[in-house]
Amino acid sequence: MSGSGRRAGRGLGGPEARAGWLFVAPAFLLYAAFLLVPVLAALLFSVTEVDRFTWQTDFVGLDNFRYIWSDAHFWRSFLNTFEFISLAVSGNVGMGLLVAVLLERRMPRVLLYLLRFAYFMPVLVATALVSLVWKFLYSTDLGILNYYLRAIGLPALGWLSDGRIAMVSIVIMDVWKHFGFFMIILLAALQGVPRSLVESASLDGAGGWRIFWHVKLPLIAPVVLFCITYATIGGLQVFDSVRILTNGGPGDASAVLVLYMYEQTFGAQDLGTGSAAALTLLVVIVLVTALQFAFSRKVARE
Amino acid sequence: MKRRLFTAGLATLALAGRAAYAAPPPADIKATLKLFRPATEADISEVNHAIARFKIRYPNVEIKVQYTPTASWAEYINQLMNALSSGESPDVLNIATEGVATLVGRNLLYDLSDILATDPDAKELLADVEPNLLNALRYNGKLDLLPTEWNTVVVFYNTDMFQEAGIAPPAAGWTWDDLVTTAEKLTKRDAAGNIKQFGYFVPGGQFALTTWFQTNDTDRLTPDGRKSNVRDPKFRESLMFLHDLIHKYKVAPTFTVNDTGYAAFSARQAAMISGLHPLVRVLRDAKFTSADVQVVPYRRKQVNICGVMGLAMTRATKNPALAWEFMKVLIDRDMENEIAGNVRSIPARRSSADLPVWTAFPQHWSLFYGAAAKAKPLTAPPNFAQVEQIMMRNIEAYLTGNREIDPTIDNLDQELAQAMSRVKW
Repeated sequence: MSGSGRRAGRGLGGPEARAGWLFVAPAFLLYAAFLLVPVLAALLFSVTEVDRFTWQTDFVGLDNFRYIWSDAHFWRSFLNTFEFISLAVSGNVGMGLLVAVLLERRMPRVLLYLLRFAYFMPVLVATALVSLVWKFLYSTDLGILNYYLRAIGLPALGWLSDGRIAMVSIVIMDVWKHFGFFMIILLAALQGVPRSLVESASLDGAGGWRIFWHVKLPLIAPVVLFCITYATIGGLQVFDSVRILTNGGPGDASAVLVLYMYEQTFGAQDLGTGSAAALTLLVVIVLVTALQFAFSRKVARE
Repeated sequence: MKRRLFTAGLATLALAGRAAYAAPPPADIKATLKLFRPATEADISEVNHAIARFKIRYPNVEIKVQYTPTASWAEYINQLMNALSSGESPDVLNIATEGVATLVGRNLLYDLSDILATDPDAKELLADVEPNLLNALRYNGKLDLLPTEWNTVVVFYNTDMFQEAGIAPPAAGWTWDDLVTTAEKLTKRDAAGNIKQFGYFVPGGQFALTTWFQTNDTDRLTPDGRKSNVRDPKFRESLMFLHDLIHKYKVAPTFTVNDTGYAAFSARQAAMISGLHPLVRVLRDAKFTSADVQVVPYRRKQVNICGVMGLAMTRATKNPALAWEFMKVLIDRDMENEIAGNVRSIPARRSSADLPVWTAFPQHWSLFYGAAAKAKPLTAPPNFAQVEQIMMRNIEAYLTGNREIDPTIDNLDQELAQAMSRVKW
């Protein structure tokens, strides 16, 4: 054992090792430049007061954290972010699963490709562009949605100006934009379920719903959990659609954490509080992700 | 000895700096200057012409212009601050009253004292500008920017709609109550009760909204701009009045942040709006001639607001003498006459605001420059962008009916107090 260890050690020396380091270096340098350094910088900024122009830096301890934690707007943004996640994750994964189930059936191959492409296409379009189009659709006076509501005799809705539904409007756009991504992943998972198991269940008299619920869903559960985790992390980072559609409004009805970070850093020109908000968000993401991984391990064991 | 040499060196550098203004750089100088500017179509055309004039004198100087939209000044300031801190700082920049304290408070602008005291072109410009306008560019009494254009808020009204409703145009001393009465007469509904024409449009920008505070003898911040003033009952009264226009009297449409109302006015959906001079160009281009202007109505104090666009050099410029020569082209008489000719804004020079092309429309054009001597600058602290975000977010919540007045005032006061506590003056 120890001999093989020494052989392995010798294997890492010399030209091979240098080549190995050279192969690893570009990726590591990119990682360091765009992830490690910014994270370390955010850590430093969060406990300092920095002048962006002179780079004069004063250590302020936890003042920046105290500032944002005593800010009602921060907590409203915090709660809104979780409201967005709960709605957007259910919508994206639920809709993705529903459409995947509908597509996982015998149909002409061309039609299947066409439908998959149609549902996936919004994923390929830039969120900023899509948000501008949806902003027009949602317009209270000129929007096409209210045009049809009025046409069937219903009152127009303040899709983006009514605090009670502004967040829902953002989620509707988010689901339209992203569910295709989850649909593709879940469709692949469904197609990976052994056909023999489905046929056995069918021979035992199980209908389509029972086969899905008792055979397919347990088998694709890890993939569903991955989708939920992925959608949750994306939800925690939501920014561009909110910024363009409502800018967090009306009032702070749709304000989210990343928008708060942006306002502090670039609106108030305060790197310290912006970084403190970013680190708070980081901790939240780590906690939520750890919980979801723990849950997924439990599900996998069962 | 070393100390003496150091002092002598500093003195030489200082003298060299002054000498640079006395003697402009040679015509064959090779350099690049960067300009940060707003980005309307007319702006771009005016700057291109100014660059062409500058190139006649300095053919080897390259000018790079970064145009940035000014839909919101907070956003413009953010973009400018990013440019200034990027290591690719502009040499010359435009900034309005809204961002003066943000820049001067951080000592980012070049000290123009010597230039203003000695350069004949600077003296000639300042002699042609209403002195009160310069107050909108001063910070702690110091002037580091020169005015290029400015704006105030007036009420634009549709003369045809007034005629149809059989009411006289608003008089110079009209009050808030007069506005309500007039707007009610101008609001039209169809048989089903749907409003087809609004009497007034509540402006969605902080500058025009501020007139509603100033004419009630109050403002969002204390006069020194350092503390929240929203607990002043007069501020609350102003907000409630705007709310009533939309929800009680129903003479104004839904409040929308950043919506100036120009589109609604041009489309004849609103009979009156609080607007700035750029609307004149919009109307002229649309051949919309049935419009005139009147001063804003008041409740406690008749007052005009002003915001002035300034031009400045940055401390980061490596070639201040050349940058100053370029600045002079951007504020010379040709440039000012072109601003007037484009009917884009109120030129800073009084003489340009008298040109026939500028005074052709509307009938009471004289109300614009006429306000210059008494106009009160918008209060803009160094954290203007943050204050604007806080104000507009909370005002939007109240005026769209999503929040009551008490929590709005409480929220505004708490957020403003917290934001102002971190400002370095």
